[in-house]
Amino acid sequence: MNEVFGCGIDLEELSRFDKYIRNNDYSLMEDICTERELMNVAGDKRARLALSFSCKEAFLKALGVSWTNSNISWKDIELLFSGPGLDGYQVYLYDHAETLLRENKARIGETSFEFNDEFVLFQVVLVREDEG
Amino acid sequence: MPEITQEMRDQVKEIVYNFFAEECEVDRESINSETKVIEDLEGDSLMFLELLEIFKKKYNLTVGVESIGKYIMKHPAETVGKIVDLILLIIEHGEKISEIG
Repeated sequence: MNEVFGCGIDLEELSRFDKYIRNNDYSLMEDICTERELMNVAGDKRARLALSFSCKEAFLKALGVSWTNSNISWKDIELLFSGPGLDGYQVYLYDHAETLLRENKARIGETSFEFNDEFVLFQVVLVREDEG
Repeated sequence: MPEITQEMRDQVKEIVYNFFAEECEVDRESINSETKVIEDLEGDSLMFLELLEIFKKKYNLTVGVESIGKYIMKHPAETVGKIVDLILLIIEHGEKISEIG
């Protein structure tokens, strides 16, 4: 069994993302989401934006850092859905997030999310790489 | 580099205080410069990013969140008063805020 390097859980209220969609104003999201993430929000925009943000927060927590005490950028963590629904997805780490994980000889062990009409919750477990 | 006037200071303070009062559903009068954003108001990252967005639009700022993050790394802004000071620095220095020691 792999040793756990870090766990992160983040809960976001869906309604907080309503105004961006209602006003078709993605300027804040452009600061924190990658171009691919923003192109990937078609369909259930609210849930996808909330999950994208929640994923980033959960990974920062699992890595034991925040965007204000590390060089990790919000865009270093990317959540992409593979289809029109929310069932298939992939998380990609870049630059400082990927480096921090690699320097600690860790990898993504497990990710999952849940949601209902009010909230989304994203969780991640990072594990140490097997020795040898 | 815009000059920070007293009128601008007052305006930024007013916007920041009203923003936290509304978002955190607390009495505006209960907020002061020493109020801790996370501990006292239960503020979070998204709230802070939303506040930044308000000022980016109001003052037509092009500063990226990475530059602001680098500054906060050196100068944590944990209270409402420090957030006001931070916003004024962002207005004054823009993207160069990350170069401030």
